[in-house]
Amino acid sequence: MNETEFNLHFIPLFPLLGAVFNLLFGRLLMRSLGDRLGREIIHLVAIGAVAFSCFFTTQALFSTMVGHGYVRLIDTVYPWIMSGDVSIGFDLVLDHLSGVMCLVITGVGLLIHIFSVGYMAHDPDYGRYFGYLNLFCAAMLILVLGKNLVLTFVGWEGVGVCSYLLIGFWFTDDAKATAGRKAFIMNRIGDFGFILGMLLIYNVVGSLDFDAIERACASGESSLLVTTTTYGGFTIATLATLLLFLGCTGKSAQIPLFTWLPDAMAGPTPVSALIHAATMVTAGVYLIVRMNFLFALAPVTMGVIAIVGGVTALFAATIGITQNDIKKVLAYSTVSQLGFMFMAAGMGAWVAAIFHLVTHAFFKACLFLGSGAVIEACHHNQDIRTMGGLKEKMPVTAGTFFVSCLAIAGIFPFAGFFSKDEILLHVQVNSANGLFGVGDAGVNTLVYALGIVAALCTSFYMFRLYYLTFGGKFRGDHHTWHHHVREQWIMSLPLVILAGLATVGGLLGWPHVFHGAIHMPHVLEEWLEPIVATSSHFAGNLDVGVRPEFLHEGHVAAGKELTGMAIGLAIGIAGWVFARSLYLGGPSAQAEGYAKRLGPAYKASLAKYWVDEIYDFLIVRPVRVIGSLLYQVADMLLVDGVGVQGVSGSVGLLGRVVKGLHNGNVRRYLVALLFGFAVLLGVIYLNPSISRGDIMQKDASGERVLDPDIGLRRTLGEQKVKVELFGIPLLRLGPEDDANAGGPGPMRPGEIARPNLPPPAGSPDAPGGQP
Amino acid sequence: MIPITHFLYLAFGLFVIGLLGVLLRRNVLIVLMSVELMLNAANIVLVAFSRMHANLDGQVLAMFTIAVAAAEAAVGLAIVVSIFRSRTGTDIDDLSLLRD
Amino acid sequence: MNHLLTALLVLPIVGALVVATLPKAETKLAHGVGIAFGVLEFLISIPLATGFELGNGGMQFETNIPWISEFGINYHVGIDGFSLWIVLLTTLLTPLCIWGAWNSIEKRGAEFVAAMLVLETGMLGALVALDLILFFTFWELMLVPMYLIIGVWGSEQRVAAAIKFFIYTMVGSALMLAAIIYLAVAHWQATGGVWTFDLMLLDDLVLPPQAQALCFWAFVASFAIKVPLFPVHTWLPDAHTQAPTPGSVILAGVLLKLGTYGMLRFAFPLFPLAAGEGAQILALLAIIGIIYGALVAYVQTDAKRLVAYSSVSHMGFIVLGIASVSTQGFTGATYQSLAHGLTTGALFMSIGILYERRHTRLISEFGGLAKVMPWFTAFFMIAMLGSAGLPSLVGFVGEFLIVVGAFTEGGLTLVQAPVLVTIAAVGVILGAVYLLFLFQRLMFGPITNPKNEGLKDLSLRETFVFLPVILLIIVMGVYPKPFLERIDPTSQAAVARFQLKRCASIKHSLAEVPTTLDTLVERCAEPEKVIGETYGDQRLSTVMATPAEPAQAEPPDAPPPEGQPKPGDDAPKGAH
Repeated sequence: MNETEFNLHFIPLFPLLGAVFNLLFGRLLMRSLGDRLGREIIHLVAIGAVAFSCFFTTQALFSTMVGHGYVRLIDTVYPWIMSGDVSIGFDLVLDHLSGVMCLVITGVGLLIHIFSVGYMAHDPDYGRYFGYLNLFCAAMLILVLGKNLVLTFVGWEGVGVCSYLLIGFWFTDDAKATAGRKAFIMNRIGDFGFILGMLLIYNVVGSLDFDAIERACASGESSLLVTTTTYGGFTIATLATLLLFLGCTGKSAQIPLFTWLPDAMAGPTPVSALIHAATMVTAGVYLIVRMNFLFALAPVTMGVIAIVGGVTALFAATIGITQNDIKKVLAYSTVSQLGFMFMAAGMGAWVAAIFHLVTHAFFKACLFLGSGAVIEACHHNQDIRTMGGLKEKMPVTAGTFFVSCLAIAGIFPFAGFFSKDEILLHVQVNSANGLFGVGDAGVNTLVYALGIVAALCTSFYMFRLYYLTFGGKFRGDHHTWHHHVREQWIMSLPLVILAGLATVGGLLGWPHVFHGAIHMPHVLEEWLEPIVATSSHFAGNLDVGVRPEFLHEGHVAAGKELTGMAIGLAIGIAGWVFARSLYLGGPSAQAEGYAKRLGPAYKASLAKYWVDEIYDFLIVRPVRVIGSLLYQVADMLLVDGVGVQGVSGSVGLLGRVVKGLHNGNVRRYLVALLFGFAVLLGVIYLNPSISRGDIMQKDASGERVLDPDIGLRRTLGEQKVKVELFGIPLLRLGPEDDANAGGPGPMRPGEIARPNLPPPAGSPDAPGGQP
Repeated sequence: MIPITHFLYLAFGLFVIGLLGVLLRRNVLIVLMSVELMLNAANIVLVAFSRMHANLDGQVLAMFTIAVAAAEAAVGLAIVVSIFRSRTGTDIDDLSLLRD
Repeated sequence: MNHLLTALLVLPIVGALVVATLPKAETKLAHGVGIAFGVLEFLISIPLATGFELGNGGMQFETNIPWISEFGINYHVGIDGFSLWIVLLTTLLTPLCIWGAWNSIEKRGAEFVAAMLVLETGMLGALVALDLILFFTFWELMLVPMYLIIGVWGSEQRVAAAIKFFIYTMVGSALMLAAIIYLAVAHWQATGGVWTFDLMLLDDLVLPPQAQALCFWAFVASFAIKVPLFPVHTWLPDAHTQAPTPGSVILAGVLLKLGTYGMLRFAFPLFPLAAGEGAQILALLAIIGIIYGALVAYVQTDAKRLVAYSSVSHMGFIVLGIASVSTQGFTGATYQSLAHGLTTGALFMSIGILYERRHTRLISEFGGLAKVMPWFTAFFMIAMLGSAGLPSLVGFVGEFLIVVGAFTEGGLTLVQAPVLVTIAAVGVILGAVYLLFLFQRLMFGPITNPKNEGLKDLSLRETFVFLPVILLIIVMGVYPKPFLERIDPTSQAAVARFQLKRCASIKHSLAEVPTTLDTLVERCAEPEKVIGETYGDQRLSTVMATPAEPAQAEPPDAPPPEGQPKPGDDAPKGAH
C-alpha cells in the first residue's frame, strides 16, 4: 500500500464555497441582476462547484490510483479536537472505497444539479435551493472522505441537516416542514447509536481512526475487541457494531427507523433523487463496508443486519405495491433496495453491497428524475391514478423510465440484474454464523426467501408504476393534458445519461461464471479487494466474507450460480408480466378484484401497516405526556409548589403568627419578657453543668480540663449558694455538696463566708471593709 | 452576720412587687415607680454580693444604676407629661403605637 | 505584576460612573457611552488570549496585592485555561447586549447601562479572583445588578422572579461563606497561625474527610443553584422569562457558567476526597437534569421558557463533564460552557428580537416567519443547530469531549458511567426534538397570524449584534484548536493535581485536623494506584473485562464509606 499526501480537501471545499456563495448572495443576485441573469449565475456556480469536485476526483483517481496498485491519498488538513490523549484530526483519505463513493456522489450529483436547473426554473428560492444542494454534496463528500469515525459523523449529521432543510424546502406547507423534522429526529435516534458505538470503540482501541481500528481488528478472534466482553456477555465488537447499525438504520431507512423516508418525498424531486435515493441513504451501507473488519468480528450483528435487511426489503416492497403516489412508490422501493444492500452487507458480501449501491444510484436516480419530469409535466400532481398515456407526450422520459424499471427488476442485461443476483447468490451460499443459535442454513434460507419474494414484488410494483404512468390512456383532466409541460433538454439529458449507466453499469461486476462467454474482470471486486482484505482473512467462526471459490473461475458452484440467475431472471419477468397483464391499459377490474380478495392485507399495505400511527401512539405521545407531567407535577407542584413555595410559605406563616404577638401592648411584652426570663432560669437551674460552672475546655495538650473563666464559678468562688422559696429550691450555685449528692437532704441556707482570697492588696480603704 | 440569702429574699420581694406593679397597673406613673422598685432590688443584690466578696465593683455599679435611674425617671416623666398632653390620659394600654 | 486584569475590572466601573453622571434624558447617549466602554473593554481583553502562554496550565497575568493583611486577604487575580475564554465571552457579550438593547430599553436607559457595566465587573471579578474573599465579594456583587435588571426592566412578573432569583442564590452563598471561613481557619490550624484566604495557598490544604464533605457540599450548594442543577433549577425559567433580553443573554451566557466554573475552580480542587465521592451524585443529578430539562422544554408554550429549560438540559452536560474528573471532561465542560453561552445567548437574542416586534413570547403567536424574516431565520437556525450539538458547530466539540471523558475515565461507580452516558445521549435526541419543534412552530408553515406579515427582517444594528456570535458558533466548531490548546493544559494539570490531592486525602483520612499537602506528598508517588486500591479500578475497560457482570458490578473491595479508616492508613492523630 502506498500513501501520498494530496490536497483532497478541495473536493468538499468547492461545493462548500458554492453553497456559501449561493446562500449569502443568491437572493441578492436575483434581485439586483434580474431574475434571469441571477439564476444563470446561481446555477453556474453550483454546477461548476460540483463539476470541479467531480473532475478533481476523477483526475486524482485515474492519475494516481487506477493501474498503480493500492494507492491511498491522504490529506491531513488540521488537528480538530485535541484534549489529553484524545486527538481527532480533520484528516481525509481517498482510497478505493471512498473513490467509488466520491464518483457516485459527484457524478450523479452533477447530473441532478443539471436536472434541477429545469425542474426549479420558476422557484423564487433558487439560490437557497442550490446552496443547500451544494452544502449537501460537501457534507456527503466529508462523510465518505473522513479518515476517522468522528469526521464521518460530521458528514453523517451534515447530510442529515441538509436533508432536513431540503425536505422542508417549501416550508410554508406545514406538512412538509413536519416531514423534514421527522427525518431529522429519526436520524438523531440513529445517531444516538452512532455516538455510543464510537465511544465503545474508542474505549478499547484508543483511537477512532479507521486505520487504527483496522489494526486493532486485524488479529481476528484474539483481538481485544472480541475478547473484551460487556453487559449481557456481548463482545465490544458486537455491541459497538449493533449500535453503529442502529445509526445505519436511521440514515438508510431500515426497520425500525424507516418511516421518515417516504415522508421525505415532500422535498423537491431532484432532492429525492440525490439524497433519498442515490447518496445519503446509502451512507449506512458505506459505513458498514468501510468498517467491514469490525463488523466481520461480530457474527451476531451480521446476522441481525442480514435479517433486518431482508425483512425491510420485503416489508417495504409489499407497501410499494399498493401506493398511488408516484414518489411514495419510489420511496418504498428505495427502502426495499437498501434492504437488499444490507442483506449483502450482513452476509459479508461487501463488494456486492457496494455494487448494488452503485447500480441503484444510477437507476433509482433516473427513476426519481423521471418521476420529477412527470410531476412537473402534470402540474405537480403525483397521483398515478390520474395519470396514464404519458408515453405519447414525453417519450424520452418514458424510455429512460422503462430502462430503469428493467434494471431495478433485474432483467438481463441491465445493471440491476448483476448486482441483485450477486447479492442473492451470496445470501444463498455464504454463511452468517451463530445468530440466536439459528444455524447457518436457517438464516440463509430465511433471508434468501425474503430476498426472492421482495424481488418479485419489486418487479411487480415497478412495472405497475410504469404502466399506470405512461401506458394506457390519460385519466386526468383535459386542462393538464393540453397544457402539458414539454420535455426540456436540460432535464432529458441527465435522464438519458443515467439510463445509459443503468444499462451498462452491470459491467462493473461481470460474474465469473460468464467468463466462458466473455472474459471480463469483475472490476469492482478487484478494485475493492484491498478494502476488504483484513476481513477476508478471518477464519473459522468469523468467516463471513466472500468464499474463495467464487473468486476464481471454474469453481464448483457454477451450476448453483447459474440456477440462481435463472431464478432471479424468472421472478423479474414474472413480476413484469403480471403487472403488464393487470395495468397495461390503466387500472383494470382484475386488479381491483385482487385487491378486494386480499381485503385486510391490501388495506394494511395501503395504510403502510400503520407503522407511523403505532410509533405516534407508543413513542411520540408518551414523550409529550411525560414532559407535561414533569412540568406540571415535578416542576410546578413539587419543586416550586412544595419546595420553594413551601419554604417561603412557612416563613410567611410564622411571620403572621409572630405578628399577632406584637400588638403594641407594652405590658404584654413584659409578660413575655418575664416568661422568657423564667425559662432561662429554669434552664440554668436544671442544667448542673452551667450552675456548677462546669464548663470543659481543651488545653494545649488536648486534655479536657475545667475552664476557669467560664460560668458563675468566678463570681462565687468556692461558695455554695442555694435559694429556695417555700421549700422549693430556686437557685443552687457553687460546687456540688458531696454530702448531699446521695439524696435530697434538707436544704441548709448558705452563709456569707469570707472568701478564701485575700482582700485585694490595692484597696485597703475599701468602703465596705470587713464585717 | 446576716446570711446573703436574707438580702436575696429582700431583693426578690422588692423585685416581685415592682414587677407586679409594672405588669398589673395601667397608670404610666405607677409603672415608672414600679420600675424604680425593680432597679433598687437589683441594687440591693449588687451591694450584698459586693460586700460578700469584699470587692467594690458591685457597689460602683449600684451607684451607676442609681444615676441611670434618676435620668430615666427624668426622661420617663417628661414622656409621661407629653403623652398626657397629647392623649389626655396616662393609661398604658392606650399606647400601642409600637405595633406599627 | 501584570495590571491587565485590574484594568479590566476597573474600566466598567468607571464606565458605569460616567454613564451615571450623564443627563437623565440622554438615553441614547448613555447607550453609546456604555457600548464604547464595552468595546474598549473587549479590546483590552484580547491580549489575554494573544498573550496567553501556550502549554502552561498554571495561572497567568497574576496580580497579588495585600488587601486586609490581618487576615491574609489579598487582591489576588489571575487567569488560566478555565477562565480565559469565559472572560473573553463576558467582554464580548456585554457590549453586544447593550447595543442589542438600543431600542428595547428606553425607560431609565442610563441606569440600565450602568447596571450592565457593574454586572460585567462582578462577573469578571468572580472569574479572575484567586482569593476567596475577593471571589465572594464579586460573586455577591454580580447579584445586585442582575437583580435590578430583572426587577426593573423585566416583564409582567419581574419582581417575583427577581426575588426568587435573589433568594435562591443567597441561600447557596450563605453556605459557601461558612465554608470559606472554615477553610481559612483550617489553614490557620494546619500551618500554626497563618491567616490566608488565598486560593493558591488554601489549595495546599488537606482536610479531614468529614470537613471535606461538609465544605464540598456547601460550595456545591452555591454553585449548583447557579448552574442550575436539578432540582434547584426552578428560579431559572422564571428569571429568564421575566428578564429583559440582555439580562437573559448575560444570564445564560455568563452567569450560569460561573456555577460550573466554581465547581472546576473551587469545589473540586479544594475537596478532592469529597468531590471524588460526590461526583457520582452530581453526575446523577446532571443526567436527571439533561433528560428532565429536555422533556419539560418540549411542552412549553412560551419560547423563552423553552430555551430556559433547554439550558437546564445543556448545563447538565457540563456538570457531567466535570463530574467525570478527566482531562477531556474538564476541557469539554469548559468548552461546552462557551458553546452554551454563545448558542443559548443567540437564541435568547432571537426571541428578544421577536418580542421587540410583537411583544409576545408565545410560540403559538408565530409561524411562517422564514418567509418574512429570512436572515433572522438563518441566524436562528445556526444557533439552534449549534445548540443541538451538530458536528462542525460549536456544541459538538464540547459534548463529544464530555461524553468521551465520562465514558472512558468514569470516576463514577454509583451508576456505571456507560449507563449514564447512554442516558445523556438520549438527551441529545430530545434536544433535537424540542429545538426543531420550536423552530418549526416559529419559522415554518404558512403565516397564520396577520400581525406577522409585516414583520421586518433584521436591521443593520441587529445583524451586527448577531454576527460575531454566529461566526463564533461556526468557527469554534470548525477550528477549535486555538481554544482547546489554551484550555487543555489547565485541565491536565487540574486532573493530575486532583488525583494527587485525592490520594493525599486518602492517606490523611483518619485524622481529625487539617494538614498541608507537603507533609503527604512523598507518600503519593502513584496517586492512581492508591485511588484504585481504595475504590477499585473504575476504568470501563477493566470493569467490562469481567465477563457478563451485572450493570452495577462493584469491585470486590468496595470503597469505604466516607471518613471511615482503612487498614494501612495513617495512624490516628487524635483519639475519639
